[in-house]
Amino acid sequence: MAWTAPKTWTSSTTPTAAELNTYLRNNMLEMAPAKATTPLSQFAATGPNAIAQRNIKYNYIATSETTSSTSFANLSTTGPSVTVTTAGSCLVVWGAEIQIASNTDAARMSVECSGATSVAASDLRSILVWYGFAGTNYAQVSQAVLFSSLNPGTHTFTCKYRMTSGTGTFSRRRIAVFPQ
Amino acid sequence: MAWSAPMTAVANTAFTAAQFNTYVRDNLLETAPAKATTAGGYFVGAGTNSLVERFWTTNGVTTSQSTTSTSYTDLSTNGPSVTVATSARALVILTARMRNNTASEYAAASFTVSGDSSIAASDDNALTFQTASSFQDSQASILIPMSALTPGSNIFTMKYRATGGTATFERRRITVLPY
Repeated sequence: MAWTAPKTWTSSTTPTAAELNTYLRNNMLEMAPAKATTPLSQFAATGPNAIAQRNIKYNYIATSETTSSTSFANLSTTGPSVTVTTAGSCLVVWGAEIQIASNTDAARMSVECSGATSVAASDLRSILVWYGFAGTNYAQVSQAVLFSSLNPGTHTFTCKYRMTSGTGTFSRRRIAVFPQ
Repeated sequence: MAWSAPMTAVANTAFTAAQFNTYVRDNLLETAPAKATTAGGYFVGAGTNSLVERFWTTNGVTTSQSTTSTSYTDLSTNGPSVTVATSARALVILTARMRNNTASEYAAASFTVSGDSSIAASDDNALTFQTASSFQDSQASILIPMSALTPGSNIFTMKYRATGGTATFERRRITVLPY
C-alpha cells in the first residue's frame, strides 16, 4: 500500500469504508510504528511520501593479523564486514589498532563497497598511520566517510588493508554502518 | 497544520468533518511519510509533536596544501564547507591527511560555523596530529557533537593551523549530520 494525501472532509458526507481504508488504514501502514520490526533501527525517506526501516550494523574482529601487501587486500580473517540495505547513502565508520615496526613503513585501512554499487578500497578513503620512530609504533584510530550516490539496494562494506612497505599488524578491527 | 492530541471518541456522538480534518487529516500530515521528500532523508524531532526531514551533507577537497599560520585560517583552496539546516544540534565529522615538517609541532584542522550561528574554529573542536620526526603522517577522522548552534541555516567550513613549522593537509573532508 502507498501513502495517499489525506482528503479534506466536508460536513454532511459519510466516510465510506473505501475512504477509511485509503486515508486511515493504508496511511497508517506507511508510518514508522507499522514498519518497525527490530531494535537499533531508524527510519529514512526512500522517496516522496515513503519511509523505510534501516538497521544500523556493526562487526568486530579482535584477532591480531598481519599483511605486507602493497595493494588493498584481506587479512587471514576477512573483514570485518557488514551488509545493509540503503536508498542512497551510508555513513561508514571503521577503525583498528595498527602497529608498524619501521620508520619507513606506512599502514592503511580502507573499506570496499560491493553489491548494488561497487566502490573499491582506496587511499582517498583510508586510515593512514606512518610514524618516523625506529622500533614498533602503535595507533588506534578511526575514520568516518559518507558513501553517497549509492544505487538503492543491498551493499556489503568490507575492511581492506595494505602497507607501503614492510609488514603491518592490525587488531581490534571494527566497522559500523548507518544506512539511509 | 500542526499536530493535535487525538480526541477520545464518545459513544453516540457524531464525528464531524471538522474533527476528522483536525484529528485525522492534519495529524497524518505531521507524520514522516507525509514529510518525506527525497531518498536518503531521515526524521528528527523539531519540538513537541513535530518532525522534520534532515539530510547528511558532505564535501571534500583532495588537493595537498600547507600553512605556517599559528591561528586558524584558510588554505589556498578554502574549505571544504557545507550548508545545512539544523536545530541546535549536529554531528560534525572532520577527516584529513595531515603532517608537520618540524619535530614536536602539530597540524590541526577545525571548523567555523557561520550563517545563523557564529562559532570560531578552536583546538577543542579539532582533528590534530603531532609529529616527533619529519617522517610522520596520519589520515583519520574525528566526530564532534555540537549542541549550541543557533537553529536555522548554518555553514560549516574547515580551517587549519600549525603550532609551528609547516602543516600540510590533503584529502580534507567535512560531513555534517544535522538534527
